[in-house]
Amino acid sequence: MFLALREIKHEKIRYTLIVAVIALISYLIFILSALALGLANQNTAAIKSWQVQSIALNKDANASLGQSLLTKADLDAIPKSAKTATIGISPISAKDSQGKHDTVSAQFVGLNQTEYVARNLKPIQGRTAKNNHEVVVSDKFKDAGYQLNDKLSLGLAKGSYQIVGFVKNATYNIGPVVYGSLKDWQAVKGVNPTLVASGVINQDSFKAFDHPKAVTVIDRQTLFDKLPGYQAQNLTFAFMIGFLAVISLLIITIFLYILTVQKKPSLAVLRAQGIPSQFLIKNTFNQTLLILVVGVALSFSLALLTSHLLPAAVPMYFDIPLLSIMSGGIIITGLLGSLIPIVIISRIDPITVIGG
Amino acid sequence: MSVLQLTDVSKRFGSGTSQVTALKDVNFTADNGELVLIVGPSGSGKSTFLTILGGLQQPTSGQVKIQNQAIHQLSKRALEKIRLNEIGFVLQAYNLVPYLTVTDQFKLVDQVKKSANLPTETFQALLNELGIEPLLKKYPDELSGGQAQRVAIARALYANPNIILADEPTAALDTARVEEVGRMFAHIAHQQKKAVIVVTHDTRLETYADKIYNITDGKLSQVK
Repeated sequence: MFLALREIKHEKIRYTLIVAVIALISYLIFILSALALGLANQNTAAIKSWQVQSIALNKDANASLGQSLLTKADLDAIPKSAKTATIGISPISAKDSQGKHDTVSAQFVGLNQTEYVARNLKPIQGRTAKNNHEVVVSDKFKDAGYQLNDKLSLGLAKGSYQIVGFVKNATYNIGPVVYGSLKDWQAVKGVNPTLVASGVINQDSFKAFDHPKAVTVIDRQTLFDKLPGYQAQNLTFAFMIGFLAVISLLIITIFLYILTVQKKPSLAVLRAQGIPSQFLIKNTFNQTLLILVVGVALSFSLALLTSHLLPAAVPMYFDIPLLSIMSGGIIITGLLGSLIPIVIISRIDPITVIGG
Repeated sequence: MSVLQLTDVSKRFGSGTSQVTALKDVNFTADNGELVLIVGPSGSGKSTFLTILGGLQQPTSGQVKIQNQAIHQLSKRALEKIRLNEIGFVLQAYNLVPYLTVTDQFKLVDQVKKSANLPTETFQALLNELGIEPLLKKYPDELSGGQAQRVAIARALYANPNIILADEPTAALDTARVEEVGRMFAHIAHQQKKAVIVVTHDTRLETYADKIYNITDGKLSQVK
């Protein structure tokens, strides 16, 4: 670190620029990751909060709970336990019965009030639904101005539904969730009474059972992958983040390459004087590590500050453990950039400075 | 006993019709307390001679001994160690690390050579003798050519080597500075009992030399 620290101190502008570039690229990676995670979360938050591992649903629904319909006979054939819950899901328009607030495109989730999803609902405001025509809604409704006891008109159902509670992390397929009863789901979706649910979710895998012809079992990832646009969106972000990582590697490599080439004559003198190449290589490695850590720490702080300043409507989710892993990834990628300068240093021939 | 000894050393580059002989059957010794000048025209083999003396490259044939140790079978790392401990290099340019202050140039030696450097009192006396004391906080680009060369000499001496190898150390200096450097090398050789070998074009240094060798077309001959 002896040479590394002194060089940085002497070449402040040069190293400030390098750190700034690293910080900006890392910041961009963090913001894109937060956006990717935020959007993915809006697709899957509710399912994740239910800790679902497998789902039994109509096999013709293309793994979409919103499209799935089960008859009572289908439902009865699916084994139940304390870790299963019967649900009905339907995309809906939620309108303010009094016309004061904007209409919200949402996902209605009908629950059996005695099963684990309904029992585990923890409203951050209000209470759980106890009767038909009572709903607990995602706190996203608050952003549209809705409050407790407001009345909603939901989907194809007649009559109104009273908001009795708000819950967090309740989004599915980008829409905020409206929790109600399975009976209300039938009304909201406008299905005939022979169709009683969309599917059965299970916190474990389903044990083998005699599937009715109309029923299939899928795992959680299949459900997510079949959500419209979910895979395309995630792949797009993954490519963008991957390209940024490659760009950051190239930029760091180019910077370090130019710096090392400029230093070659004095490095050759040091080699001639018997300064071990290991000492010079260690210094270059430590210097790279230092500027990467400072750059990434700056962008990490900037990302955290951004997360506090952004309005709630921006779908970003800053997951600290994930950002920490990504920081480590950026640092390791950047260290790869120090390999070329290290090779240059190890190949410097001290003879080049004799007889100049 | 000679601190440096070259016996029948030849160095050839290339092969066949394009082969060039840079050194031909060179025999050379240097002892502690001697200032030896190696002079000769450009392309005569002076630099090859110096790099072989300093263990920076191996001869094609013949034997090189530094402190009575034959170096032709030593590893790269062992040669680095010999250069660090036994030899102080003073070069024409890029002598000093540009981003280190004069003080840090010496501290760098401490970083890689933890022992046997000059004791504080001796080092302090050297700084006074070379007039470096007021320059300690300066960077190389704030020094004149003469000041930079004095610092380079002090740094080479700080590691307390027995041998000083200098390559054109007065190339960029005016006559007054050349005389200053000449006196300094003679002083180092005679007072500190080092073997100082200077490769140069500069005939102004001849006054201070105990021995002078001439290299022409790779052949070494003593002229003083």
